Amino acid sequence: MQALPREILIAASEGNRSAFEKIYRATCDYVYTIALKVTGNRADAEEVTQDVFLKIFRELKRFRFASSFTTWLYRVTINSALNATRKTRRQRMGQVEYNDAIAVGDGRSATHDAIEREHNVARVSAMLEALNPDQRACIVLREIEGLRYKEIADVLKIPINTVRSRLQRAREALLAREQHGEG
Amino acid sequence: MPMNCEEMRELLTADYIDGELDEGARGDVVKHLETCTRCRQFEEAVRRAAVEPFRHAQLSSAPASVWNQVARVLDQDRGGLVREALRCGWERLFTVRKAVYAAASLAVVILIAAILVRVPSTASRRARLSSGDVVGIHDYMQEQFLALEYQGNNGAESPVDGDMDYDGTVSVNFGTIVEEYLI
Repeated sequence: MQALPREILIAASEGNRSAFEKIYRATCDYVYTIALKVTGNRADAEEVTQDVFLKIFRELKRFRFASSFTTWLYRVTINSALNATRKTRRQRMGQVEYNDAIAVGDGRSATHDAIEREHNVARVSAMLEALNPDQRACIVLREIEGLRYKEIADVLKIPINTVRSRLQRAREALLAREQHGEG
Repeated sequence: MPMNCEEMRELLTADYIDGELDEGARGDVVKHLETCTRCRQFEEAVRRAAVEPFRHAQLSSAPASVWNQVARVLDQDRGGLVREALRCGWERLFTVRKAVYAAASLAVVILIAAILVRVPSTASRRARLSSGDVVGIHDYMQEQFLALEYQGNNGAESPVDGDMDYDGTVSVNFGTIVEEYLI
């Protein structure tokens, strides 16, 4: 996620709807992707995305630029997604609800590359399902958003060593999963 | 310092794979992997099972319905947002007023402290009178009474102001009230 111009943030913080829409357009796919990966289903991801932007719009006037806007946005997104995950407590072991995964069924029009890509999406979602929510949040921020340990620690407000150990446990779990033939 | 395979595997599931090691530590790991087949196989397995699948993960697009929903809530909540803006303004004003109150309180405390320092306490005055000053005051009083006695004997004006009371005793004025108080 790229940093947004400060003047757009200031304009949005003063209630400018056009500036806020620019922020939305620039960041909504990142927010939605994180929400989708962490919650594991589209309905929750849409609700989380909506909640995140409403919260951002309301709280932006209090934002003092002490931390970067993207760090704040990641934090709000991850917290909302984790809350949604814990709240719904869905027992969907191995169940995949992603749009993209459903699209794999239509093999007639899909190219080989597209099938490969959709297969990978389904695989990633199943891998994330195997992790607990805290590990999932770390893996999503690291592997999908490409954040450094320090940035993940800032977003989640946890020590770097905790980031490190969550990533280690997550990868050990994914390795064990593959060795048990679930990859 | 050479690392054992256990320590190496901790790095292989986190810092090494994520590019978080400095050059020296990274060189140590590379050197170890060149000579240790098991660790090399472990590293390949971690990459295959827990890293590579995420490399091909793509952003998911947030459905258009999310923005429509956000915009609808913002439209409905205009009144609430205005109230929120007013509340923020009041909070800021209250914050300024608090600072003014704090400054005024500090000024009062400093003023009281200055008065206390300038005017010695009764206890300290008594303590002073009980020591060296008593001698000086005693001498002064004696001098005044001698003057009065001279006035009584000679009918002449005394150098000190003195009034005769109705019972014939003399009350002596040592100056202003403040001077008497300080003496």
